[in-house]
Amino acid sequence: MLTSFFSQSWLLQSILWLPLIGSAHVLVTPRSSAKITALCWSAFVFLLSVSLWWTYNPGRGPGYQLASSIDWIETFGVSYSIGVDGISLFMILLTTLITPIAILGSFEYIEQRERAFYSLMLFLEFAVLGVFSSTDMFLFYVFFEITLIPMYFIVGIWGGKRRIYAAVKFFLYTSFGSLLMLIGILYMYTKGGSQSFAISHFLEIPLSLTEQLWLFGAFGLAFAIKIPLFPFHTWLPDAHVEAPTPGSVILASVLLKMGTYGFVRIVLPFFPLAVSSPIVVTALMGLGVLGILVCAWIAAVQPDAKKLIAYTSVAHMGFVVLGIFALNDTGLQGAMIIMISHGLSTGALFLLVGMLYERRKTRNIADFGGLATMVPWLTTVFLISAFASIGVPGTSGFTGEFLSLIGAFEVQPTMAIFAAGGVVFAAYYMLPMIQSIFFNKNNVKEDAEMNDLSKREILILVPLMVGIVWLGVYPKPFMDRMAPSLEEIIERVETARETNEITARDVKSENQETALWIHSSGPPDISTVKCREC
Amino acid sequence: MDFTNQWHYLLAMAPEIVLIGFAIGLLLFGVSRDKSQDSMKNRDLGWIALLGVTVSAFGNGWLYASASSSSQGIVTVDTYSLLANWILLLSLAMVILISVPYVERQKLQAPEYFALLMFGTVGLMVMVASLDLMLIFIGLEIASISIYALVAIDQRSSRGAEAGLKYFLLGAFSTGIFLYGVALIYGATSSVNLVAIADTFVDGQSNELMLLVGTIMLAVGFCFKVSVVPFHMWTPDAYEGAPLPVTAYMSVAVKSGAFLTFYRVFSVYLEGAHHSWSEVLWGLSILTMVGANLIALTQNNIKRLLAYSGIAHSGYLLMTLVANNATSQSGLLFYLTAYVLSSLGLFAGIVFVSNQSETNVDVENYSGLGVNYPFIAFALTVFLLSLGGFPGTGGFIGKVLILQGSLESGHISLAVALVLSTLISYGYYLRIVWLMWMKDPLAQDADNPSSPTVVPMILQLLLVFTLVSVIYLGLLPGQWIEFVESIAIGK
Repeated sequence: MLTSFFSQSWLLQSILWLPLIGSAHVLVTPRSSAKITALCWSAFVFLLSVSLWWTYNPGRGPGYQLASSIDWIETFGVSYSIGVDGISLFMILLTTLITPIAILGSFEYIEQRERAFYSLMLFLEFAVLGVFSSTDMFLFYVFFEITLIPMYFIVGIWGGKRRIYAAVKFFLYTSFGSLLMLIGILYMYTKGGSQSFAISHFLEIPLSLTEQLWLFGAFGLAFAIKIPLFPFHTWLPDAHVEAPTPGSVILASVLLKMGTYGFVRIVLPFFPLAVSSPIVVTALMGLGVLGILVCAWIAAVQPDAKKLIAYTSVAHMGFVVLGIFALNDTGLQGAMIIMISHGLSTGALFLLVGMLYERRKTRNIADFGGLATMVPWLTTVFLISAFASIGVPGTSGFTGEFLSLIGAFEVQPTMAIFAAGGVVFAAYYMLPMIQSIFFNKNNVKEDAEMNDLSKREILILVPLMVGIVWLGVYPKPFMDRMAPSLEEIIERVETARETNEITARDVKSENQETALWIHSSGPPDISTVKCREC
Repeated sequence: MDFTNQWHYLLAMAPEIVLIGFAIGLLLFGVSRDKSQDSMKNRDLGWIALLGVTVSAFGNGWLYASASSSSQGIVTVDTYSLLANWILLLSLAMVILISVPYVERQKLQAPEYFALLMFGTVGLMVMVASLDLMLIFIGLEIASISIYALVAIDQRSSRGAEAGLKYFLLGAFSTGIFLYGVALIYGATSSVNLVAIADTFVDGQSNELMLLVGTIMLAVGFCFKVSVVPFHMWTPDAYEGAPLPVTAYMSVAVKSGAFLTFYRVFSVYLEGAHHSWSEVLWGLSILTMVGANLIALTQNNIKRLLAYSGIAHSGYLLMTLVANNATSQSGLLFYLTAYVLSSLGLFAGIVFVSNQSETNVDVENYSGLGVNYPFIAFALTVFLLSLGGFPGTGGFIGKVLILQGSLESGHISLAVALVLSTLISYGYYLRIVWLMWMKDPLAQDADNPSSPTVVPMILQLLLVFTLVSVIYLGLLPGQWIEFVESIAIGK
C-alpha cells in the first residue's frame, strides 16, 4: 500500500518536473537536435500523464489524489504541495497533450534561436502544470505569475510585426489582475491566522459576505482577465495575432484555461456566498453572454483568419463562464467539457491557419479560394475543427455548450436563450470563412500549387480530431472522472447559500420569537439558529 | 564581552576602526607614492581596500557573538546594527570590485577614491549603530561629505562637478533641517539620547507640539537622504553625474544605511509618537511609489531610470515604517537584502555595457544584448524582475513580506498602492528586457570602439554571485526569513 502510494505521487512529481529538466537539456543540446529533444521530452511527459487517466480513481471521492507535500518556507506556512483531482486531471492532460503538438507544429515555423524557443516551450509547460497541480495558494500564485515570462518571450521574440506591443500588453494586463489577487491571498492568509497557505486551510477561513465580495473582486478580476472575460479581453486578439503559431496554440488551448480553472478551483469554493449572490451571478452570466454575442459579431467582420479565431476564443469562454455561474452540476460539467473542447478545436484551428500561412505567407481570408479541391485533407480537418468550434452535434463543442446551456437555463432562462443565439452566430462567422477559403472560386495561382497535409502535419492533427470526436460521441468517461470533484464544489456553494438563508430567516424569526418569549416567558429554541460554516 | 569598560567600547567599534585604519593608510600611501615610477597600480589599491573590508567583516562577525539587545551608551551592538554592517560591508566590497577596472580606465585618483568609499561606509555604520541623535548626525555628515566628494571625483567630467555641487547644496539644506529637528527634540525632551527620548513618551513629560515638529523635521532630513518624493530632486542629477560605481554605491549602501537608521529611530525610539508621524509617512509613501514609478517610465538614461526606480523602492520601504510591526521589520530587512543584491548585480552589468566608462548609458544601448551576451542579458533580466518583485526572485518574497506587514496593520490602501505601482514599474523594467531580447543590436555598434568586447573576470564572478543569491532568496527564502526574524533592535 505504502509503496503504491509513493509511486503514485512520484508520477505527478515527475510529470511536473520533467519538462523543466527537458527545458534545461534543450539549452545545452546542439542546435540541430533542439527540436527533436524538446519533442521527445514533451512526448515522454505526455505518455506519463496518460497513465494518470487510470491512476486517478474517481471512486475515491472528491479529494486530491497522488498528493504530496513538503514544507517550502516553513516560517511563512508555505508548502510545496501538489495533487490531482477531477478538475485538474483534465487540465494536466490537456497541457501535456497540447505541448508536444505545439512543439511538433513549430518545426517549420521557428527558424531562429531554436534552442531558446523550445526551451521556453518546455518551461511554459512546467509552469502551467504547476498551476494546475499545486494545492497551496502561494505555490499557485508563483506558478500563475511565472507562466507570463515564457509566453512574454515567445510572443516578443518570435512574433509578428507588432510583437513587442502585444507582449508587453499581455504581460501588464494579466499581471494587473494577479497582483490584486496577491493582496487577496495575503488578506485571507492573515485572516486565517497566518498559519498556512494550503487550499484546504483557506477553505476553512470564515469570511463575511462583504469580505467575500471584495475578495471575489480581487480574485475574479485576475481570472477574468486571464480567461479573458468580456470586456477584459482586449489583450487577447493582439497577443494571438502577433504570437507565432505554437504560441497561439498554447495560449488558446492551455493558458486561457488557467482563468476558468481558477474560477472553478478557487473562486467558487472560497467565496460561496459571494458567487451565489444574485448580483454577482447576473453580472457574470451577463458578461459571459455579452462576450458570446459581441465577440461573435466582431469575429464576423475580421479579414484575418487568425484574429477571427482569437475572437471565437472569447466567445467560447463566455459559454464557460455561463456554465460555471449556473452553479449546478450540469452547467459546471458543461463548462469543463467546453474547456477541453476549446483546447482541442481552437488549437487545431490555429495550427491549420498556421499551416495555411506557411504555404501562402498570408492569413487574409480574401486571399484564399477554392482550396477544397487542392487540399482535400486539410479542408476536412479544418471543417471538423470548425464544426467543433461552432458546436455541431457529434463534436465536442456540442456536448459542452449543450450542457452549459441546460445548466444556465435552469437558473436564468433569458440568459440561456440569448447565449443559445450565440451558437447561431458562431455558424454565422465560421461558415462564411470556410466558404471563402475552401469553396469559393478564386483563381490565385499559388492556391493551385498548394500541398496537402504532410505526414508531420497529420501526426499533429490526428490526436486533436480523435479527442474532438470522442468527446462529442462518448463523453461519459470524462464526466465520470470529473463528477465527484465538481459535485463537491456545488455542494459547498449550496450549503453556504442555504445556511445563509436560514441564518437570515432565523434572525428574522428570532426577533419574532423574542417578542413571543416576552409574552410567554419561555426561551426560544436555539438549536434552529445555525451558524454559517465555511 | 559585556561592554563594562572603555576598552570594550572601542572593541564594539572594531569594524569601523579597521576601515578607518585602512582608509587612512590608503590616503597616506597616495601622498607618499612616487608618481613617476607608478610602483603600485590602482588595481592593487583596490585589493588593499578589499582586504580592509574583509578584516572589518571578520570583526563584525566576531562581535556577533556578543550582541546584546540592551545598551546604555551612545553606541549599541545589537543584531540589527550588525546585520546593517553586513549589508553595508557587502555593498562596499562589491562596489570596490566594480570600481577596480573603472578607476583604472577612467584614471581616477585611486587612493582618495577608495578611501572616500571606506569613510562613507564608516559614517553609515556609525549612524546605524548609534543611540544618540548627535552621533547619528555626525555619522550622517561623514557619509554625506564623502559622497559629495565622490560624486565629483572625476575632474574631467563637468557633469560630475555639477552633480556634486547640486547634491552638496541640497544635502547641506537637508542637514540643516535634520539638525533643526534634533534641536527641537532636545528642547522638548531635554535629551539627545534615543533611549531617554523614548522614556519621555512613557512619562508623558514632553512638550507635545515642539516634539511633533522636531520629529517631522527629523523625518524630512531622513527622507532627503533616502530620497522620498518630494525630497528626491537631487537624486536623478546626482546619480546621472556621478561615476557609475559611485551611483551604485549611493543607490545601495547610502540608501540602506540611511533607511536602517531611519527605521531604528522612528520605529523603536519615536514609536510613542507613531500616530503623529505615521500618517505623514503614509502619504509620502504612496506619493513616492506612484510618482517615482510614473516618472521612471519616461526616462531614457539608464542611470536616471535607476535613480527613479531607487526612489520608488524608498516608497516601498517606507511602508514598513508606517505598518511598524514584526512582519514588516523582517520585510524591510529581507527586502533590503534582495534590493542590494539585485541592484549591485544590475550595476555590474551596466558597468560592463558601459565598457567601464561613461558611454552607452542610454536604454537603447541595451538593444540586442541577449544576442551577443546571453548570460549577461539573462542575469540583467533576473535582476530587473527582482527589482520589479516578480515571483522566483528575492524581490518578490521581500514584497510579499512588506505587503503582509501592512495588511497585518490594516493598511490595505498601502498594499493596493504597492501592487499598482509595481505594475507601473513593470513598464520600464520590461522595456529594458525587451530591448535586450527582442531587438537587434544597434547598427553603429559594430564599429563603435566604445562597445564592450570581453567580459572581465571580476564582473563575471560578481554577476554569478548576485544571480545565485537573488534566485536563492527567491526560491528558498526560508533560512533568510528566519534569520531576519531573529534580528532585534536594542531598546
